[in-house]
Amino acid sequence: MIGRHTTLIVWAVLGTGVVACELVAVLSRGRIPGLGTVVGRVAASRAGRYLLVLAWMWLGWHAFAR
Amino acid sequence: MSLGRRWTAAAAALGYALLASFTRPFTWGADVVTAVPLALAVVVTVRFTSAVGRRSKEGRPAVRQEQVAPRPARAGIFWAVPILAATGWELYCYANLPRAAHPTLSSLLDMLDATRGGKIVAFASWLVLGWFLVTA
Repeated sequence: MIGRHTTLIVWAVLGTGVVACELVAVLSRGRIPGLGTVVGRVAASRAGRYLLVLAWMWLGWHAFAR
Repeated sequence: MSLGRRWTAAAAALGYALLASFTRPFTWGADVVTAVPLALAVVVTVRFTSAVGRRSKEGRPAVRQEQVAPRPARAGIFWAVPILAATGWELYCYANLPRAAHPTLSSLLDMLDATRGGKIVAFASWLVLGWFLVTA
């Protein structure tokens, strides 16, 4: 049975992993795209932009209103 | 966007986040303060997408150059690992109770929102993320 502390440690490891990936992307000087570039690429299409904005809207409503 | 405008936008986001920090979820105030950016995002997204479509028809680049530079397949594999790992862990936590022992991302955000400073940071970050998405 996994406890609260273990769960929080895994979240911290995952968060650190994302930051590490972004650092690797920055240090690769363009060979590996950063998260912002990937998101920008998805948002370059009309469907992708609407989908991302919809996800952002849901996140805000879920977190701050309901 | 110029540096001056960026600072103005950041100050506006912080000011609005401060206003939002006085509201609590499941109240009319929280609904209104959250709905305003949502409505603005819809308007800006529709207008921005139309402008990009027009530019594309006129033969000008529809997307910025840095968005198309690296190879998509490599980017997909590189970022799929942490995203899938986080999604898997979120699903595991969501499926297991009690929530106190298995906090989801929503629970972590609730912890951050519990303090005024945390809520200001969370709301301002959400606004900045939204601005990035609608103008990316």
